[in-house]
Amino acid sequence: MSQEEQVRIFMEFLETVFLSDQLEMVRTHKEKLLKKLKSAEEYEEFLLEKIEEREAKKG
Amino acid sequence: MNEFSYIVGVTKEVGEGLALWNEKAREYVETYYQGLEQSVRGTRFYRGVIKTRTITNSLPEIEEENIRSVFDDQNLLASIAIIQDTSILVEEELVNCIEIESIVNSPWNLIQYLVPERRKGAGTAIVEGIIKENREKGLSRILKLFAVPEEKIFYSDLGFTETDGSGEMILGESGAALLLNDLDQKRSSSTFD
Repeated sequence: MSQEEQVRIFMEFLETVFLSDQLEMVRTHKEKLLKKLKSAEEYEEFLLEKIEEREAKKG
Repeated sequence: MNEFSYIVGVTKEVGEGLALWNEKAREYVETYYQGLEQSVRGTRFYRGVIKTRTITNSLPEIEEENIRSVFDDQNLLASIAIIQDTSILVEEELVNCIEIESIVNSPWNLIQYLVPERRKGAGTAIVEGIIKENREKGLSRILKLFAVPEEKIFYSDLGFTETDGSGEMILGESGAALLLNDLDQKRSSSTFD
């Protein structure tokens, strides 16, 4: 890690409010996870529909 | 010899511990370095703050199963490590091992000034915990890490050896066994002190 990067991180440590900073980060991450979950649920639904369609055709 | 409890994953206590590290580190910067970045620069404590900040910022993205930590007898977070499964070449054969991606101790164990919270041995305790955890799971006890020059002596003392001069250091099966044995002996002798 370059010295500039070290200074930047250290200044960030000195200047930011830890708890609210962390809360913002966790919320951003939670948003990402919720989007992923939504997309997984949509894909799951699509697969189930296709399986049902195939079974209906067979029957 | 100080004793530590070993924790897998990110518990509420780990989150609380990191918040306390941040609070205490800022307090130390004010008390011992007049709140100035330039006064802290280059110290072990400075490197620790940067590592802690880097770990804390990436914590939400890291898989829970890759986080290890130790708590001291005051129930304070004393050291935290990020690990991952990897493999290394040993005598032209790929062998599974654990890579310690990052490890950092509490600010009170890094600052050069003697503070009441200090409990020595947290770094050793977390390495010991990782070795024991893998032994219990029947996995390889070989550990790998990349150490900056200032940290090499610490890891050499634990039994790690440098490989190619890149900073990569390995603790082999026999080195791990020796370390556990050495720590057990220290515990036994301190019991009779």
